[in-house]
Formats: sequence, structure tokens, C-alpha cells
Amino acid sequence: MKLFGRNALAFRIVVLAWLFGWFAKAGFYLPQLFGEARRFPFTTDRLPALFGWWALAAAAYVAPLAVLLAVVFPKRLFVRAGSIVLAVSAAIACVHLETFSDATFVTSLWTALWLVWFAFATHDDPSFVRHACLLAQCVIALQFVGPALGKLTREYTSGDAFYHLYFLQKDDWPYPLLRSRFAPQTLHAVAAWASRLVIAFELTLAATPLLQRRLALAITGIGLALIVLTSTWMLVSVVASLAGLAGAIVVLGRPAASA
Amino acid sequence: MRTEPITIGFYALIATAALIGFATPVSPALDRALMRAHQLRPASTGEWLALQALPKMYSFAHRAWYSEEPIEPTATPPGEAVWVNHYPARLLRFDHARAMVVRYGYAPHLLLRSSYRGVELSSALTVRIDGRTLQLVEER
Repeated sequence: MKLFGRNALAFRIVVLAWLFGWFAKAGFYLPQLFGEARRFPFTTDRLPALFGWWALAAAAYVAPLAVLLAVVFPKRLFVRAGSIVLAVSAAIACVHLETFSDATFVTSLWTALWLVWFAFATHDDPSFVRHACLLAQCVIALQFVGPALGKLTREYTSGDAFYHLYFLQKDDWPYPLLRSRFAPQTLHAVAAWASRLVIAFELTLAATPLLQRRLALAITGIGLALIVLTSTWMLVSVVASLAGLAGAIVVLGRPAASA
Repeated sequence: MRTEPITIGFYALIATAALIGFATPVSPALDRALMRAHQLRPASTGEWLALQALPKMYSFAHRAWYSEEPIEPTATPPGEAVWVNHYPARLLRFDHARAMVVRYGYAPHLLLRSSYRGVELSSALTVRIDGRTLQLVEER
């Protein structure tokens, strides 16, 4: 048995977006995991040595390539095995000392869990599409619950955190230009409003499962694009898998073609 | 047709993670546990495994101060802080610079301070260089 039609298309969209995000920073991770981490391991007494073992992180980083077999031949067995490989790889990356600090692996983990659900759920179930779309939107929303609530503190609402993180410390466009053009007080005032807008937008993203599907998708699309545009291109690694889930909602949610 | 167990299970997993996120503003104990994860000082391996699956990018305020000398966690911060979006302990991983740290046999000391709605956690950390290994250690 194999996936076909829009189910196969949705699977391929999510997996390819996932892989794009996962390997977007390969230029950083390949030399780090196969070179630096192997020659100069990083450890801590707080965690077992396994969590710093370079080979574990390196294997977890390249293993997802195996899912391409399921993309080309979307047989149920390949789809299930591939989805599990993605979830296990992302889970390892979330806890390994070489990779734990990158949000890419958290969004990848939750997206991979959706793929595991997608691979094992019964596609003939009349409620399958409804659950697939709602679960995908829930996974997207979940990524913004912690970040939104975690910013409800004076350092963010006053703009101090954004002022330092973006306006003073970032070297990506447009921040150097802004530093050269505007006084610190002006930038701090802008940072305060930008920070409050981000918190409001993240709270809205966290609430998208409660909204009508098209509105939720529009907010998701705008939100993911703004994250990349206002920070750094490298954040595409964090949002790519979520964009894949949004793509799956579009594909699965459209009316089925009449026979 | 009844909802499949795998579907119920996935909704429950997402709901649990979301509830933990929503508890952040009202649970100082949770905040401290999350700060320990951000500072790479989990109370246990289990705590690390559980908290690492939670989305927490750009949450809490994290500042770091570099020092040439060993530093106390309660010390008055020396000089200007570097603000870090999340996981400030990663500064001591010296990504792509470990060869230099090992060659010099020296790493700076770092004071980390995470804060959120009145809850604060400070750590004084450095790395001990043991052969070619960089081991994260806490200042006593």
C-alpha cells in the first residue's frame, strides 16, 4: 500500500520543507559535527557523556537523508520508517550538547511528530483530513506559546532585550544602518514597540488553531515570513518545516476533486 | 468512526506542551527549571530530556558577562553585558574556535544571568581544558 494523490503531495511538501530547513545550515554543522566536535569534544558533568559524543550528533544530522526514499517511493513502510528517522534524529539534536541551542531542531521535532502521526493514522477515516489540518495548525501554534509567554517580562515589554539583541548587537541589515542613522533613544523607543508587536503577533500565532482555517493560514504565512525578514536569513532553518506544515494544510484542506 | 488512539495521543501531547508553556508566567519553579536548561545546568538528565522538547526560542532575558578571573554567581556583573536570545551557556561551547582555546589552554570565565518576571538565576561558568576536551564547569 502507498500514499497517493493529495496525501502523497502533502507528505512530500512537509518532508522536503523539513529537509530544506534541517540542512540550511549544513555549512555550519557539517564541519562542526564531523570536525571540531570530533577533535575537541564539549562535555559537562551535568549530563551523561553520550550527550557530547560527536558521532551520535553527526549520525543524527545526516540520517534524515534516508527519508528521500519515501519521497520518491511513498510506500507506507518507507513513509513510516522515514518519519520515525526524522523524529528520532530531531529528538537527538534537541538534547545533544553540540546542537541543543538551535531552535531549528525543536520545530523539526514537532513537525516530524506530525509526520509520524500522518504515517500511522488511518487515511480512510472520514475525519482524517480534519485532524491532519488541525494537528498541523496546532503544531505551528505550539512553537509560539513558549516564546510569546516567555517574553511577558519587563526586559522585553520595555524594549531593553530587543534593543540590545537586535538594534545594538546584530550585524545583519538593516541594523547597522539604523545604528548609524538614529540616536540610541530613538532606537530604544522603536525596539520597545517592535518588541510589543512581536509579543502580540506571537500570541496571535499561538491562537491560530481557534481561528477559521484560511485566516489561520494567512496569519501563519505572514508570521513566518516576518520572522525571517526582520531577523536573519538563517532563521529560515527554524521556520521551513512549519511552512511545510502550512503547505500541507493548503493541499489537504482544498475540496477533493469530484470523480 | 471513533477517533484513533494515535490521534488522541498526539492532541494530548501538544496540549501538555502548550499547558507547560502557558504555566510559565505563573510558576516560578517551572521558570527556574527552564532557566537551568537555558544555562546548561539541568537538575537531572530527565529534566533536560523533558524540557528540551519545549519550544522556547527568544524566551526570558539572558545576559552574559565575560571575566578574565574566576567569578562568583552572586557577584556584581563586571562591565558591559552581552545579551543572548536563548541558551546563553552555548557561548562557552566556542563553536569553530575550540582549536584556539585548546592551543592557548585558557578559557574566559562567564557570569550568566537569566531573568523573568522577578525570577532570576545566575551561574558562573567556565570550561576546563583536559587534553583536547572542553569540559563545562561551574565556579564554586
